Amino acid sequence: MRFLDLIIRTFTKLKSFWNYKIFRIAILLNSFYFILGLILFFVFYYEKNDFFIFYESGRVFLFDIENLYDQTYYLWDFRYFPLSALFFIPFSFFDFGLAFILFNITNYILNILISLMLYKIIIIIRGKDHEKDDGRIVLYISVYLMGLPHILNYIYGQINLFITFFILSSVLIFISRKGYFWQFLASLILGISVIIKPTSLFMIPFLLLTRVERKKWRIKFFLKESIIRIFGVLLPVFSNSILFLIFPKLWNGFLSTNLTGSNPTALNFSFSFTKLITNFCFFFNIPFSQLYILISFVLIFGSIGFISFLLRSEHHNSIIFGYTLGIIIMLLAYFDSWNHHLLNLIPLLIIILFNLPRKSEIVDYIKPSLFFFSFFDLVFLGMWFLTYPIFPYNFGSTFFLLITFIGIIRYLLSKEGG
Amino acid sequence: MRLNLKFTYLMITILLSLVSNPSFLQQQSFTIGVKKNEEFVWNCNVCNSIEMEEIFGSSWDNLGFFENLSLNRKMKWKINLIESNTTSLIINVNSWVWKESDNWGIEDKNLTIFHYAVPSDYGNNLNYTSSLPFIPIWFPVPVGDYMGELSFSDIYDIDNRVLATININMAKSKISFNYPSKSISIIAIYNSKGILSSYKLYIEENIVIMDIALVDLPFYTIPSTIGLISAFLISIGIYIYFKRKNRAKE
Repeated sequence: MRFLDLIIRTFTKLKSFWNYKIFRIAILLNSFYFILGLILFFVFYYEKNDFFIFYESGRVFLFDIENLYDQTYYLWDFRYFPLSALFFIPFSFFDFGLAFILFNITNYILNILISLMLYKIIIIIRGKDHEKDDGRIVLYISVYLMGLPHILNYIYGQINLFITFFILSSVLIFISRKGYFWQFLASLILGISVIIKPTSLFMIPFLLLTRVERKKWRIKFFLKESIIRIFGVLLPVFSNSILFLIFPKLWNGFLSTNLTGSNPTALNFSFSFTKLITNFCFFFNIPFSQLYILISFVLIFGSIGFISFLLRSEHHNSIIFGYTLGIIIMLLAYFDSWNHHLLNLIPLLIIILFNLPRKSEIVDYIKPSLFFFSFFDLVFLGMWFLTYPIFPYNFGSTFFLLITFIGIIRYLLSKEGG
Repeated sequence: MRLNLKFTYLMITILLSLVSNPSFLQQQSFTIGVKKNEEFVWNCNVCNSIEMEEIFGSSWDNLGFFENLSLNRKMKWKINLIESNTTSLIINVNSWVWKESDNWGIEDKNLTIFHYAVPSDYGNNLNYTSSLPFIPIWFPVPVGDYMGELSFSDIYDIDNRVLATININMAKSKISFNYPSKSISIIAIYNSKGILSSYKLYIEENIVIMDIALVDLPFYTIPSTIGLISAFLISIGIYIYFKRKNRAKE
């Protein structure tokens, strides 16, 4: 009965969104991306896209699990946690073409669910000086749906929307429910997102419920809640270790693919800082170790982000800022940060925009970045192919990631952030 | 509402027809990406002859693509003939070995290079380790797809996600006793015509001992780069200007 009620309320809300012209355009545009993705898949990218790897991983998991990291099975390296393959097993039972369509229909539905979840979160965290009607919220939800990163997400059959869905579910529970069970559940959901794809891995430290009171230089640490949260998030992640213990070959494969894999050395348009530096080193024949560069940037951005988070002013919704910092650190530091990964970040930036005071200076950091990620990163990606022989740097999103990173840190450390 | 239903039916029909009869999913055909009389010039940006000799022996620059190679020298190909049929793709090129001056004169060699039209005809464990540079200089197009369908031996790793790239990781003595005498890595990138555009040979610690690059830049590269950076900086400047102006008004 409650479920039926939820469905009815969901449809009523969607119907109310439909009254806004911008939302109708956004749905139409997202549907266009969906159809474009299918057409391009069948015409050009059949068995030459990321979904082929996920689809194969489901099959290998079922029939030859020990060789899950045997890259001869895949078009490109399979790098994720072994349990991630579980998610793709249902799709592996279908013919590949049909599985792709079903997968992208799931992606399309996830977009609707993400929009609804965005609405629900914004209603809870919206600052007092924001407009009371839904118009502005619908506008930003439409920006999310119209975002160009959806195009590549559909074409490649990527899994970013699953991650976004889990991240937002986790946020929603954290900000709307109290009690240990809900803290555990929200963290567990984040842990599930990590095993699907480790994009959200660096969000884990921000689950710690701790803060340094700057006036007294005293550390406030909520031990019980923090333990529950860390246990919750690590439970799914460490579930993989059962598989690693049973099949030691899996562990070796996982390590060699992620730490010493040869793919990341190639020149590409990833906008991570690490990639810009390795591209620079490649271009000018400077000897480099990509692993050391990666670790350096994780340490630099990770420590700045986490220390700022610890020194933050008292804030009820700090989890949103923690999660956003976590994903920015990942996008800045990991080898391969692609356009479609921005779908994990964009909803969080929208939430932050509504949480900040309406006239906050920090909006000037977040808003341009949000629009760049939504509509211009893809242009920079395209331009990279024209410029790479002399300028192999897809620097646009790197710049705006840095701007967002600085903006959030400034906010956390300011009085306004209290 | 009726329009929505019609649209939905149309979409379902299209999707079902795509799944049930993907008739256009025939085996991909490959072609020759270069044209007759087209010229390609490579420049050697880095050449550590001492290391090359130590690793590959004194005859490393006697034959093949590396013949007469040393730092700042150039070599040239001119496409003489292209020929394709159902089983093979063939180009014939006039080749000039590495020279210091741009005065090319008469060609030094005439080469005929062959590829199977269907990559799977090469069979498994394909490798080019019989002679330096251990990779082909030319591939059919689309080059990334062609390379992706080849079944190379374990020292080769194809990365065709962004740029068509061959990565080679070769351990010491992989080919024969003490050959190569050190572990090496190679990163070879191909352009959209299937021609080798960048070749880098690394020794341990990622030190480059050989860097060869295609000289000719596409005509759009420099204007695109200048345009991109300028547009970016101007946009940021305009944004900051208007923001400050608005803040001052408030």
